[in-house]
Amino acid sequence: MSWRKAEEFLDKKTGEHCIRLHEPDTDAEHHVVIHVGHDACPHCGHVRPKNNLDELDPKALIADELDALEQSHAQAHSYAQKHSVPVLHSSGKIIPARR
Amino acid sequence: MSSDVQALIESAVGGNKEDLRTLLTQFYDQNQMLNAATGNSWLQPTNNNKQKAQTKPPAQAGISVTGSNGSYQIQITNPAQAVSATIIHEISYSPIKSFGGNVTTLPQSSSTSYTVPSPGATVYFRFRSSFDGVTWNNYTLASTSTISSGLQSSASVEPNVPLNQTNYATVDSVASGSAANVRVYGSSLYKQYNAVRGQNSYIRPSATLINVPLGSNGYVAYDTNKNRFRFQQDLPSTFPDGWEPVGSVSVVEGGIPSLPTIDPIISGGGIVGYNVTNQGNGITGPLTIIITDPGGPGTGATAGQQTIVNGKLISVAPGNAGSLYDSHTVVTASGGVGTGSTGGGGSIGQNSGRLYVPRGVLPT
Repeated sequence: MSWRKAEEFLDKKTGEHCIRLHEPDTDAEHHVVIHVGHDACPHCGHVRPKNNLDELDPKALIADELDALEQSHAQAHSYAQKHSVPVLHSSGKIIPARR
Repeated sequence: MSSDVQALIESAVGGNKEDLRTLLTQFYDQNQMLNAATGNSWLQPTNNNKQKAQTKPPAQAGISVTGSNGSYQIQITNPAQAVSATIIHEISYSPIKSFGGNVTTLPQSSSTSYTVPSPGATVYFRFRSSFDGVTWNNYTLASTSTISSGLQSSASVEPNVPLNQTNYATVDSVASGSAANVRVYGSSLYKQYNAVRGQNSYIRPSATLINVPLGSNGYVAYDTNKNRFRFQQDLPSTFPDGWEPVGSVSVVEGGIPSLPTIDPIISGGGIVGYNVTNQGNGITGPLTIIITDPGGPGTGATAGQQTIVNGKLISVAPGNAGSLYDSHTVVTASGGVGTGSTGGGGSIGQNSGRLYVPRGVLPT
């Protein structure tokens, strides 16, 4: 798996659990932000704590995101291997095809 | 040096006080003439041999300040001088006539023509002049009343180059349990997008914002200071320095979809307007509005443009008024309510998406 979790923190000020996923081959990033702060009624503005935090499983959510990201990456990787196509790395180097 | 003067100097050096007096008197007279011509004055007695000569300030110059198209044009007319010398000017402006605060002072310069860009400003101008930058004449107001620069015409602004700001992100929402996920992506899901800022472009990450409550209207921004996405409830909150507005998304509140109710406003037998008495809920597209006059002769009326915001019908513009309508006229709305579950991204530059989830059928 090439995609991996590069950074994770909970920002209590904003109520956001921030996760940065990174893929070094392409230097691509995908951010996941889980809202764990309060909710506000869009009509009256009444603020209340989130009542579904127990239902959230951040590990599973991150795993789902990584799976989705990896699918596309793995497909391209398999394609390159199958057809012996060199791969351009984010560093600018072209990595020769594996045989 | 003439031989007479040379002889006087040699005699004075030799101790002849009378010749020294004659020499100094001639020196004094020569300098008096020179000072009168140049406006200079004698050095004050001092032990500081670096002291600069005291210079009389120049006579008062003339000034003209006009404002237009967001800039001030300043023209100074130097006074006539017996001996040509460089005059330095110092111009300052303030919204306060006494210049008691908020004073902006332009760099000292011998130039007589200035352009000061300051769109929308209304200020007083003053200036003073000097030969040496040390001794100045008195401040003179350019005008006893304020001078306005006027607003800058859009025609004088370089078209779009430094101000251009857009991005190629799609922002949409999908249901997830009792909340929604807002997705930010480029050409397809999980693809990074390109943000254009002025003459530069940047690759920004894709993102998934999880557990966004249903019923919220949100604006997604990218905080370039901390390299993270932020979800805000209102557009102005996405404007701090270093934040890039990415797109808006509306997560329409759950609830049983309902059609709006509309009453016609009839005048002289024609329908001149529509009164939305119930805005309905969960409207996802244009409604079909039918006007009937049961048992009556009314005919020919059509409804105009509909305004739908956040799943609710806000207003219906009148179309053709028709004729012969009476108090029995009925306006019926149908269609326009779907059971969609996935928000759609807006077109480039108008990113927005929406999610409609009927109560009781939330995806899990």
